[in-house]
Amino acid sequence: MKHYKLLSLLLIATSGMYGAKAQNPQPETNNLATPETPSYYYSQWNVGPVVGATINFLDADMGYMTNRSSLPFIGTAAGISATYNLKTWFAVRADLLYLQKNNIYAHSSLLEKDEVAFNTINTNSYLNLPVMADFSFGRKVRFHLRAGGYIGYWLSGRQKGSAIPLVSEVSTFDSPYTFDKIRDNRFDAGYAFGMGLSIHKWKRVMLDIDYHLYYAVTDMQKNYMMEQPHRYNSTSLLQVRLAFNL
Amino acid sequence: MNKITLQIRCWIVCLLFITLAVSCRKDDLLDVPNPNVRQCNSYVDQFEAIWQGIDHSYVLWARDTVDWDARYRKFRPVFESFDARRATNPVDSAEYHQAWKDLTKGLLDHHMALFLWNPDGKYKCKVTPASNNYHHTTDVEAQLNILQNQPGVTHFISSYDASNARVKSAFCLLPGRTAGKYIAYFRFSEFDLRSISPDSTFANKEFIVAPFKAFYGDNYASGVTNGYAANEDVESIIIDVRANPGGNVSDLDALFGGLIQQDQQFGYTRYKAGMGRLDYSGWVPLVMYRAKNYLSKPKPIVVLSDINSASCAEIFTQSIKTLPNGTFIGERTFGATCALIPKTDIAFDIFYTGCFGDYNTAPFEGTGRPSNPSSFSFYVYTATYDAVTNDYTSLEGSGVKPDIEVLYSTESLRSGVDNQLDAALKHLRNLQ
Repeated sequence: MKHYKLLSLLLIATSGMYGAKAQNPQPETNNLATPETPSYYYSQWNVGPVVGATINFLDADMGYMTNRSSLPFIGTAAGISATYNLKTWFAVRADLLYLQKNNIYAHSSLLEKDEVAFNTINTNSYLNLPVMADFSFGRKVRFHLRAGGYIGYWLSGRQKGSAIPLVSEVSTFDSPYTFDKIRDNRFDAGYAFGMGLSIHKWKRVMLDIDYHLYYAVTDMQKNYMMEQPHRYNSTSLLQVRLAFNL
Repeated sequence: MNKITLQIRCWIVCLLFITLAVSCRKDDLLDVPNPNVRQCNSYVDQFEAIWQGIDHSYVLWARDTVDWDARYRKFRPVFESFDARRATNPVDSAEYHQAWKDLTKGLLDHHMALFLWNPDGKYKCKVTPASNNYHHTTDVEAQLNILQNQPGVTHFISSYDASNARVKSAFCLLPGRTAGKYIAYFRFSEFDLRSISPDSTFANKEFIVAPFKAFYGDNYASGVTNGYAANEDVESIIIDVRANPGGNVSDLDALFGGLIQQDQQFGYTRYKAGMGRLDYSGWVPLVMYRAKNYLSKPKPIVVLSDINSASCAEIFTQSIKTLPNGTFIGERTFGATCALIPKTDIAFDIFYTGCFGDYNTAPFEGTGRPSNPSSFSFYVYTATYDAVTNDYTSLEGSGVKPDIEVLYSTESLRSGVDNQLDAALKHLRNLQ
């Protein structure tokens, strides 16, 4: 429960900051400006689309199955992002993302003289909502460090790969993943961390290049058996955001 | 607090949060030994090894309804009590057997058998959770006697009295729908062509393989060649796998592949992909390939099966049933439709599913005596593959359902009538 408490505290804290600010009169735009940063570089809100690529590491316990392993695999991400600036150096950022948390399940065998590998690419699509505190410094190019939490939902999956056939020469499969109500935990939550650069070169738009890490604390499986192996996602996202100053 | 100080504090809090967060995940590793190589020194050890082996490597958890965790909580104290009284009041074979029987009661895998060695009492017991499914013994000799006396039967050959052969077979021609046309009847007792291969050493091999040659041809291991199945005067076929307990699935390449004109998919298979009970590989299509030599034109085929047709005989039955020209007559099959690979040196450690334990503890697999008689040896014989039909229906436990149901009748056989054979002949003779 430790991580849930920590996550809740952070989400409450960030939403509290947002709530407290929202009750006050809206600050003048130039409240965020400093002598070094012209006022048009900043606004209260920055909203814009996000696209990126993911690489997901599935931490899966394979126990005594020594010829099995979980390998990282790439995916895509897209969504919309909003930043609410409270100070010139502090903001709250929230993204609504469709992203893939994929992995390769590798199974090596010694069926032939040479080792044969039967790999499965698991493509898992998620909807994630990270909310992060954003600390930044710099002028026209600003450096950001972010931390917060996220919640998400496992939308769908696909399995593509090969397995050892019984009698056939066919060993491949490519099919949608069927969720198992007993095993699969479609609720996803964890910590969100990030760092990035924002380029404030134009009056109405800014360009962000970010690296985010979504570190799940919810297992992909429900607690359905006594001696259960764990299965956690850690998803790195390299993304670009084009944010409009509102 | 000035702005710079506040900013620094926020950065520190942020870094602390990151450090704290990454240490919060529950990622303890399972501490479960490989059951295939586990040495057991007590009743509890033996219980733990088998319970855990089934827990992580049993291939049918997706549809099994047994609460395996509850069984652990209920039976671990039972085996602890066996250990506690080893010196004073050792458990007897009946009690030992009953404990294992109760532990595994209701498990769906109809192949499953546990072979358990008790070094204290120097006895072995066998537990078959699905054995209650047998409701009769098929009287093969009576069925063949009736077949031999069918009106118009010719070319009757049977190797069923070859006592030293694992594969026994029979062949004959029966009058067909029209005059001068025939129904070819073929029966075999086991899918084990290896034992009658050119390399085998059976003294009376020619006698044993005669029905195979009569039906498929001289080169029966490559499909249908010059046998009666391909004869133009043979208009239809009966293949009888009643009481056939199965065997080697690779035999299907010749025995089924010779009867089809094109490759045929009749289901899917998968196996365990991880330690979780519900961790599976994807479904791989189960395709039967046309043999090198095959029937050039499809002929109506009836497969006769009964409750004692198991494993490979059920796959064969389901395959024939799937054919447009195939009909299954008889009663539902045993329900051991998920294939297995009996333990070899590497099988379990490739799949981490299926048979595990001391190979020699199983009388029909190894020497029949435990490798280490002073340890609590065991061998768990269980399915390697989960298998389903083309519409993803599992037949495990329920068996293949006949197109035309005709139940086994002891009374009928006693009166000289094989009602299932009669139904097959009637069906083929009435085809338009």
